[in-house]
Amino acid sequence: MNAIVNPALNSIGNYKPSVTQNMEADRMEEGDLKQNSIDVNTVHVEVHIKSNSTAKRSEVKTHVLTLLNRHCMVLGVYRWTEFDEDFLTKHVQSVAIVDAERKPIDLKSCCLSVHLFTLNEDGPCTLTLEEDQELPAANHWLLPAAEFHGIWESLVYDNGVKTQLLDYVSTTIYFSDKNVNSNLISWNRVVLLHGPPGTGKTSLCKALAQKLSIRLSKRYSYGQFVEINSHSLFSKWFSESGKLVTKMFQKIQQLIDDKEALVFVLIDEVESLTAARNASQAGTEPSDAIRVVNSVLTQLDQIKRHSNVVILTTSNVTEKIDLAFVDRADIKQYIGLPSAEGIFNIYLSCLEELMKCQIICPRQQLLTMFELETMGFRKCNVSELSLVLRNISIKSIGLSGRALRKLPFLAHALFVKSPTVSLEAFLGAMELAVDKQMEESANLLNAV
Amino acid sequence: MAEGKIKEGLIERLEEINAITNNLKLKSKSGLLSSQEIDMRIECHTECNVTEEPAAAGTRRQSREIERTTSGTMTQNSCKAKGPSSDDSKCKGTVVITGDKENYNSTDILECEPSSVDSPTTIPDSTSPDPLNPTEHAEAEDAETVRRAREEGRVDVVFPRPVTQDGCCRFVGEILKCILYQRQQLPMTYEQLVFSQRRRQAVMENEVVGWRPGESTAAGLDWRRCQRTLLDLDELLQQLDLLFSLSLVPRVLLLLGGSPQLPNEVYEVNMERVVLAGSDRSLRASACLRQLFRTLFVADLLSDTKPVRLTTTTVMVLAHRDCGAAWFRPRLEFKVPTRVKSKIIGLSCNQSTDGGSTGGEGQSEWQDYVWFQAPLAIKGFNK
Repeated sequence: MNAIVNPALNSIGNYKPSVTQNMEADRMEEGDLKQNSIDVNTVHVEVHIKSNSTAKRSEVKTHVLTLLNRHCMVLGVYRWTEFDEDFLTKHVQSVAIVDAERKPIDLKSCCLSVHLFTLNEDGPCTLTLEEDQELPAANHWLLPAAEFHGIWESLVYDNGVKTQLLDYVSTTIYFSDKNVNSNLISWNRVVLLHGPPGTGKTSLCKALAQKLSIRLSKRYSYGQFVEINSHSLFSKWFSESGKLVTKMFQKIQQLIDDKEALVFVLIDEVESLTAARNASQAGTEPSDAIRVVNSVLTQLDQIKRHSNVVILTTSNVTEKIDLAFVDRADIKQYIGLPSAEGIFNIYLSCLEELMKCQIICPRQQLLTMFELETMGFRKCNVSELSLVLRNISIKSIGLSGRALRKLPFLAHALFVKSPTVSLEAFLGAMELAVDKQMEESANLLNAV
Repeated sequence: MAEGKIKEGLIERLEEINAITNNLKLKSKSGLLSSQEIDMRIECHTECNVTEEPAAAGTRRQSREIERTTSGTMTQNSCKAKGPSSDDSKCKGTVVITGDKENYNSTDILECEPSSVDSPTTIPDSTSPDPLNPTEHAEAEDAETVRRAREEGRVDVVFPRPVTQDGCCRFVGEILKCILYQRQQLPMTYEQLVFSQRRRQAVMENEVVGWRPGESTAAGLDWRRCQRTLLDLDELLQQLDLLFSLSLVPRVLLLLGGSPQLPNEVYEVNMERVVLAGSDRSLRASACLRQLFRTLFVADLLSDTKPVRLTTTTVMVLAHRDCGAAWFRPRLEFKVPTRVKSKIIGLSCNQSTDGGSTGGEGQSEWQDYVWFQAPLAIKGFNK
């Protein structure tokens, strides 16, 4: 699904080993690379540098490139965590080929885009508005944050949702870089993710921000992730709420003013801030709430002039959101419940983790959906367990991502009585857990 | 215990000097103090208000105490074996310092030590005002310091001779403690906190009764928070000590509030032009501290009228890339925040008097120096 590589994504800080060894030159090459990227695949390499490393970044990059030169054939996504070179062992946590297709790649023929990053281990900082000291109006993280590490890989969606989002933001930044007149071609830097609860909308926002801050690390020296507590923007004083919103955005403006920073603003459950204004005509909303909506809308218009900001919003109930806001969102991505294939992948990653932690013992190889498909779902002793897992996946359609991720835990808690368990027994337990989960949700519905 | 008391005395006395320059401030601040020191303070304060003469006398007395305590702690630091210093050793310390000064020609003193010349607050007993240094000159310099502090947010302290690396570490530590108190992140000075903490511990041991709810509020201080902050601060100071022994440290940033990228207040201690030398050829830290804090209080750099709420203080240190500091976290991408007006305390040494002691490394470019962040931030508390 990643076959069509966005030119915008490629153009930002690419590196082609055969062209030049000069690290500083890569941004100059933007123009050439845009043409190159049509016939040359870009492979993104993420290099996670240890947080206590003080090595020069250029030096790390050279070492990583020699490593990649030695292993020039890889099979899709791959991650090196152990190195035979002392320098890399000392300074680098992992080198990973990411977001590539599952097929053999010859790195020599590809355009390599190396992204170096270290994780910030600090927790979130709080942003307080002057008046209310107790309740922070927003939390903000410095990206790439240790807290968000690995979320991107853990999220499984169909139809390349993740790639689309990545491409969208990259295009936004590409357009801004090229000084496209925003009066003629307008884009608002607002992404709205909606869908049922538990499908990972908020996680996706965090993961996207993390990913982009790594991808664009050459363009922006760091990323900021601001999570607004929307309820903190409502004042107990009549007519003050609108002002609080303005104040909030002023704070965000301060962060944006640093052109070195890429700022992501997450408004979770956005319907609470931008409740449909026409609903208030029924008299159920105080007029102060309308002011909040107005304030948010005008502030968003203010903020979109800056090239280094992206606003991410999520919602469960789209019909309650004000139309003017929905209209401002460039991408209104529906994040639905996972399909059987998605569920299969989620389970697969869960089981992998359990095998890694030796809760499921002994380790047994499970096939991927792709491999099963090529085998025509034939039953043999290699594919037997995988087919069982596929059946469980089909059975669990209708469960949300959040429910799926906790299912192995429930299975172990309720149906596995021993500390270690064989894969076969565990799959049996999972099936029971799925049944129980389904029964529970049916009971809940009946009770209502 | 005795050492604690003496240490405790040091900053507190320095505060007294500040009180003279900043009379109004004291009124509000003394309200924060809860221990017996209050009485003494207020007494001094009223003294100041009644007439000019006793006030001067009072400060003179206190300055002498500072003199003694500073040198007292120094001798203790340099040779621990001595134990609680007797009066003799204290006096000796002072004499040594003044002896140092007398080795220089008068222009040096005129240039670098305006503090010891004019104001009664810092004159040690044994030195009489030099006839070659008219008080007007010193006053003019003070005025210039105040102007620079107000307009440029910068205070420059020029030491007459090289200092030791250890000394630099102490300067940073003392400045940190001072800023924490002055910017209302600590309810009393560090030394006072340590003192009252110890006293409380002693009481607790005697009483044997366990912790009772409501007790902490009765005492007016949240002891657990106090202890936490003190532990953090002690650890930070220790690690700073270690870092200073590993690498030259040209700059230190103290970031108050917000995040490292966008703090509310920035204080920088700039030591790029400090000339370092071994302990035999350099100034005593105590003498430098006196000069440093005298200048700081004259400049009134730290006591902004703007109130601050409780926040966290992060320490950033510029040190050599390969110094091998394990506790501090390297922040290679960190850039000094430019959108916040930073207040700079520039420390430097008078180069002309420095006879041959190299500050060679100090002169070189700082390109191999990277920012390190202290992994723990000091959380402010007030009760």
